[in-house]
Amino acid sequence: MELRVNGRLYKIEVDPDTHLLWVLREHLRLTGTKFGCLKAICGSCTVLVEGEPVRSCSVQVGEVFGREITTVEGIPKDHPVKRAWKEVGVPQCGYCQSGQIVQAYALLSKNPRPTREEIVRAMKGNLCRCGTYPRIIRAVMRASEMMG
Amino acid sequence: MMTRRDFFKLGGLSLLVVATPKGFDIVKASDLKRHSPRLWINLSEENYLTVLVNKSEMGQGVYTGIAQLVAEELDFPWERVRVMPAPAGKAYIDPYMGSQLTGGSTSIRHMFEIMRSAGAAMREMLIEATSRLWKVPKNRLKAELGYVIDTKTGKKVPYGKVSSLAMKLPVPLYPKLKDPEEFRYIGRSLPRIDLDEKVNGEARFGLDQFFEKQIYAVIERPPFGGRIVSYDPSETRKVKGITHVFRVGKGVAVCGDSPEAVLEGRKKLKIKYSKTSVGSTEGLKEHCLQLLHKRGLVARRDGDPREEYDKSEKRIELTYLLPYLYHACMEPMACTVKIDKEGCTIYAPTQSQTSVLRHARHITGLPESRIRVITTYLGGGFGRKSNSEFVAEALKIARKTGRPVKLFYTREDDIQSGWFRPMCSALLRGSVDESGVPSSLYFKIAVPAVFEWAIGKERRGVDSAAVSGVANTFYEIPNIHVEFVKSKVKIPVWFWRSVGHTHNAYIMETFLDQLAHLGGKDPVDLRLELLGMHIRAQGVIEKVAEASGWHRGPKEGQALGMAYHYSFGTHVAQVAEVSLIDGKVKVHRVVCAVDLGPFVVNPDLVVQQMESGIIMGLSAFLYEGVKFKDGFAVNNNFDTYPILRMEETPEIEVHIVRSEGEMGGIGEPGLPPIAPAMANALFRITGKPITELPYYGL
Repeated sequence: MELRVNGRLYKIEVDPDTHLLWVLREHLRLTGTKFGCLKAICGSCTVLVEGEPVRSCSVQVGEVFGREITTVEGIPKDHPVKRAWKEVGVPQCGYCQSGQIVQAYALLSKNPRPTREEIVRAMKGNLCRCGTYPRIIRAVMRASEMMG
Repeated sequence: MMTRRDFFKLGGLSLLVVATPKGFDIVKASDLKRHSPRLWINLSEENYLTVLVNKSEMGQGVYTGIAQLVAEELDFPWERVRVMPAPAGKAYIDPYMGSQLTGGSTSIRHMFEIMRSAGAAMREMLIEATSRLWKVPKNRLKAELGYVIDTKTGKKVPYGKVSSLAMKLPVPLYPKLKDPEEFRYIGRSLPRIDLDEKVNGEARFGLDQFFEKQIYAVIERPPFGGRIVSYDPSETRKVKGITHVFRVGKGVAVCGDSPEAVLEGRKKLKIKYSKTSVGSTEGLKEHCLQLLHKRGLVARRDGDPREEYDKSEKRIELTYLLPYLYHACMEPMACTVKIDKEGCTIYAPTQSQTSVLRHARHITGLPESRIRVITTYLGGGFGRKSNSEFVAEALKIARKTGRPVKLFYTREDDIQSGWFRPMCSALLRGSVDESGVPSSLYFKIAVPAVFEWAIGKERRGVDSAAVSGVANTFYEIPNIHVEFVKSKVKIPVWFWRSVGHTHNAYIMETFLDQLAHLGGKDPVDLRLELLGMHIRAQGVIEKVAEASGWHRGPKEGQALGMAYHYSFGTHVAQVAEVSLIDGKVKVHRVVCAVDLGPFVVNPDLVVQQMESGIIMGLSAFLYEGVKFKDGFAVNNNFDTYPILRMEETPEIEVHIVRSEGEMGGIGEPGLPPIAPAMANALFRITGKPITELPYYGL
């Protein structure tokens, strides 16, 4: 079976009902995607499937064969989202940030000029125990500015 | 991050910081041939500075802060500074704690002088080496941003080029530290040193390591106050990929080839649990309140509060009940270990390397020299990860199975493993005199002894966590009584960000507002009055009152609430701007003033920690509390144990107040004041004191 992740084609042997989270982390060793609740309620495992943010802990790999998957590692290091995250100084422990960044990237891809309310609506499913929320809002706004 | 192997290949100048019974000492690497390597700082010939940090990075920014201290005194370009976690070992203990531990908001306070001294010693050695090389007097040379410079000719050489020469010189006994006016980095918000890794998904946490032939493991746990009587693994073993099922600690470990196999296998276990002594939430609450009728241990007594209370006309009595709180680190407990002929390797997101080593020695029987502990990044710690039970479990599984193991807790496991902030009840009585000033305070708390759980055995006397922030209150009230009744409920409790201050600040600061109300005093004015001798406490209260517009009063439809608390050496006051619409709380803005003394190493990290403490404290105030049924935690994932989300997060404004005096910590003190500030604001709207948390009910 073939999985397309971050523009690369991976040949893997797994049951199609294996969750995408574990395939990414344990088979492909793309450990940027994090495990948090296994119930699609914390957002730490967020990745993109064809540009749409999904919770990889609750998506079976069989559903996404042949479709383009993007993880935090696949977002360019100089992308405005990552630059803004650094400029604003968002991360503390950093554990949820991969999911936050992927979620924000998806938002900005569709809506490059989101309002504060739109940012909150798009991001509120991503939990952060360190409380980086105010900075996430600032960073999304900053990234939006950078994207021009 | 560099690996340890990279580090040992480095040439140049390496200094060791040696923990002695009296504190720290600095020596050269080459002076300690027969000792194991210690806290190292290396300046390589390629002119890179590497600092090994003996404290765990759990989000508080300690890697950045400690590196800043060394780079400051060495006077070194920030972009050439790297950090790596120090190994675990006696050589890396914090002598002020007697162990290798990150907790109590102490890291920068404890490491401030020694890490600066190490940088300063390096700088002096580099100048001395250059002076000998160029045959020019030392006073003509200066060291600046990675270069030794001849001030007369302008000739310069990178530190790295003279580092090996410097290594041949003696370490200066008393290196001269910079005057604060000369600071280049201390006091500046340098970007966190872990930023790149954390935005690129490269930071390694407890589950991000791989070993050949590794297996995965999860553990099914008994109810609190009960045990697993028997288990039938036959259906579990039929699940594809399951390799082992056996008892470990109080639970049953299910091991297999993949995370999904072990999760599936565990579902098929047939387990018989014993009865539990813990029962359910209602019973626990009832029991906790009953304890207030018992006689406890007196932690402080000034004057005669009972007599004063009895004769006062204006007096009030309240009973408080606060719940068990779960740390909810975004990274549940997770650990990757391998035991083989060479020894034992442990990747652990731990706050307590010392206890990890103790478990490893005990379980593997190996000497410390063959136990390698790699402290990964911690996906949140908040005190929880100073408990190393999860590492012990992983080691036992690795030992029994003979395979490298990745042990992970699911969210539900993480809660059922316990180690919560304890439930507590408190009886408060207070009175005010004719002028409206508090004349007596009676404080009796019933709570488990956190320090007993931490050391694993019973202790006599007052548990210091139980009465922290109250027994030592700065408020000058003539008659004070503080009493502690020990709760012996068998639900494991532990340090939860700011420990006893979480409940005591809440009780004290809300009760004080009740006394202010009773005496017809403004809460800010009353606090300033009661803090007659404490100018730092008054400083933060005045600052927060000014910045929040306290004396102008709230905006239309809103109320202001304030609280002040001193913990971990730091004074913090907060004002919350709150409204209440159809029973729903809205926090518009929180203004925070913090005084951590004369040195603020990295102001933005201080702001981050205040924001973090406020949001976590607000979350606990509104929502948090573990519920139990038959000894099991029933609200055991984020759908039933909600934590604060982005849409409820207020605007936060932080003011750092500088003062002389002791240096304070920063990881915890931002948390205690927010809950009482919220309750005090809501009291102004509803007229009802909030004596039971969480606000929205358990």
